[in-house]
Amino acid sequence: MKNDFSRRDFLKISGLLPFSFLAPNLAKNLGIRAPQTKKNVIIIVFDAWSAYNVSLYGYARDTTPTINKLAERAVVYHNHYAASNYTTPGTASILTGTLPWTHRAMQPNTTVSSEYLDRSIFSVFNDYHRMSYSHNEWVNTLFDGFRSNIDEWIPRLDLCLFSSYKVIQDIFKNDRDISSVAWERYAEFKKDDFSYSLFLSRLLSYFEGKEVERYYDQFPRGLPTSYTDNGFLLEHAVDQLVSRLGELTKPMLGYFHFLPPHEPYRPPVEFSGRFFRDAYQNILKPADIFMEPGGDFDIRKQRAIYDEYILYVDREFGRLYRELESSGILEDTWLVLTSDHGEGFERGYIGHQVNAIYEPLIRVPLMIFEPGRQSRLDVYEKTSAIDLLSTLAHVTGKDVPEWSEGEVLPPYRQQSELPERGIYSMRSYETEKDSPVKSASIGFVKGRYKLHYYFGYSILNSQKLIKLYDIESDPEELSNIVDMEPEIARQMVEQVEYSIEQVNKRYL
Amino acid sequence: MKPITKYYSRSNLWTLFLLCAFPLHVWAMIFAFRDISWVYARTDAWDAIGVLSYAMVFAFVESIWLSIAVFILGFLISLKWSSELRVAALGAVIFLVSILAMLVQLYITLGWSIPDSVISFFVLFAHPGRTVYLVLLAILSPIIAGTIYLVLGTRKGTQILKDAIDKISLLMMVYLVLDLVALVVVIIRNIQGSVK
Ligand SMILES: [Zn+2]
Repeated sequence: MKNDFSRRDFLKISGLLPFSFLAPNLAKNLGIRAPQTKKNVIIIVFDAWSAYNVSLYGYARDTTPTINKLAERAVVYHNHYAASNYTTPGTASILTGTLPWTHRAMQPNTTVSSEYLDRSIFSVFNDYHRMSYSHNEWVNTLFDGFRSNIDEWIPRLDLCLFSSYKVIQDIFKNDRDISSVAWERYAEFKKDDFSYSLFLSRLLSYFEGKEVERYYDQFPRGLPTSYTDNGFLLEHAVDQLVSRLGELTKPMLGYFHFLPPHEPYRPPVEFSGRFFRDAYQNILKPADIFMEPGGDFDIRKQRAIYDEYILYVDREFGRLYRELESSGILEDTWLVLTSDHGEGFERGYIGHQVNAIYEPLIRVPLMIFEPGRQSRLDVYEKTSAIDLLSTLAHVTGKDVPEWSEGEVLPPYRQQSELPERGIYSMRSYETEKDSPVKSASIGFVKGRYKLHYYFGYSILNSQKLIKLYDIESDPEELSNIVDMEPEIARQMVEQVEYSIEQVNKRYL
Repeated sequence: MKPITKYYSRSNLWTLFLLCAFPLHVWAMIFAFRDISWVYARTDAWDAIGVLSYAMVFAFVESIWLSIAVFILGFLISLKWSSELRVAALGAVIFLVSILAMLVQLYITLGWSIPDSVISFFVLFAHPGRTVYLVLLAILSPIIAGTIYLVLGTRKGTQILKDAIDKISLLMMVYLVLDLVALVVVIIRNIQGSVK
């Protein structure tokens, strides 16, 4: 019998099970009495949440009615870029304040290089109670790397519905990874491979199905899930986090990374179908070179469901905000709302598993809720995910670490204008930690221009592919002006190639 | 309520456990051994042994649960039967049900297909899945009962079954030794933690 359980599946399972997990370091809490001047920092990340689909940023569908209101008391960043178009590098850049080719977590489900294990937002806030949580297994793999600097790493399945994995992981605490792989092979009922168990696998799938059934009416498309759990509700995660935060002695640093609106898109019943027959028109764009042409009809439907799923994010973030407000935590807290990368519904692709680097895939929301702020401030400057670490260090009175590659964001930095800098976002799925970057998709935004720089792909016959867009007059990236602005293109290409050369020097 | 000893002797219980453990272990080991190279290719030999060991430990635990269920089932068999005969009958049930469970997994995994006409018939019911199981049960219980009757109805048949049970029990003892080794591996892994 052929074993078709792929490496991807293996990673999927083993990745969500960090090799060890830290129990809440409560002893440490008891000792901390923060001076009033120290503010908490809470970072809320919703996975694969594109700024393109957010009404606050001008999207035609009203996907964020709650957040639009809350924004009246926030600094709203309109041109904020994730450092990649998928989770591992994008999240690692938020956490380390460095670009993917620096922190080296460029392949899926990896950790940052050993050099950066002690260079993260968790190490910067080493006098805080540092907490982390994620529904996303790949983010937990990153936490595993940073674990010596995390005081309370909430296990992934703690905020999911009951699953037998949780029992197994509780019993075999010191060997979560392999015991869970064995449990998956033993007890998980599969349609395409054998279970080691003759009877238990059937019983379990029956009972776990029953547990989930209770919520069927609320989630007609199925429960939110990352596939390697038995489903979860954002409501539960928000409630449990807020109650845990209420118990803490300040100050704390929390990094909470929720899966929605990442696929599978599972909006609750109250939003389901909301955008199905509205007047929204997809802007027609030619199929990307990395995609097969055709299949455009499904994109419209998937986009609508994704937009409905954002409504769920919007509602639950609103609830989180109000809970923090009413418990009094908010007035002492820098609350950040953002995403690790975007999601796209155009040019023949749905989602973000694509080598392209268009705006919907990399432009993400960023809002900073500053303690005591009562008015809205809109920032149109182009900003990067790597700026968050420097900014949060700066506003809480810490030294910005010299290894961080980001800038302090406006309005918090001293000089109001920086010399114009380029913003990088990249995907280099094949690059190992200690190897030079030999293939990548690089987005390079400078001023009004955005360069797409693709190289090392077999589909391009290992040739470079270069596109240039004026994203201020052409935000949809419809007309490639590389031939009309050869000088600008040349300069930007030169800059990108110089950067790659500098990065690769260390690994040759 | 009759005392338990009227239904089972102590050695009966042990035999019953071995009979339950046997099919579970055979099935689990076939697929766990098949996966060794797969795990090894992705991590290392110690993890491969780890997955196998956990599988054995899980199979042992599942065997205990199955034995308890079968043990309870045995109270349904008339006291007119001797306790040996009761265990032999239960043994036959375990085997037939296990083979059925194996066939179901093979059926699902290999994608054996049911003729369309049969599917369209079952779809007519409110709970097609449930109906399929009921029909299967209706077909299989007489087969199981018939087999047991035929085997236990003749002295020769009974003797063959008893011999088989003895041989299986012996083989199962070997598996139990492996379970013990597996348990030791699991304990070591959990003491040292998976330091990588
Ligand atoms: Zn992500």
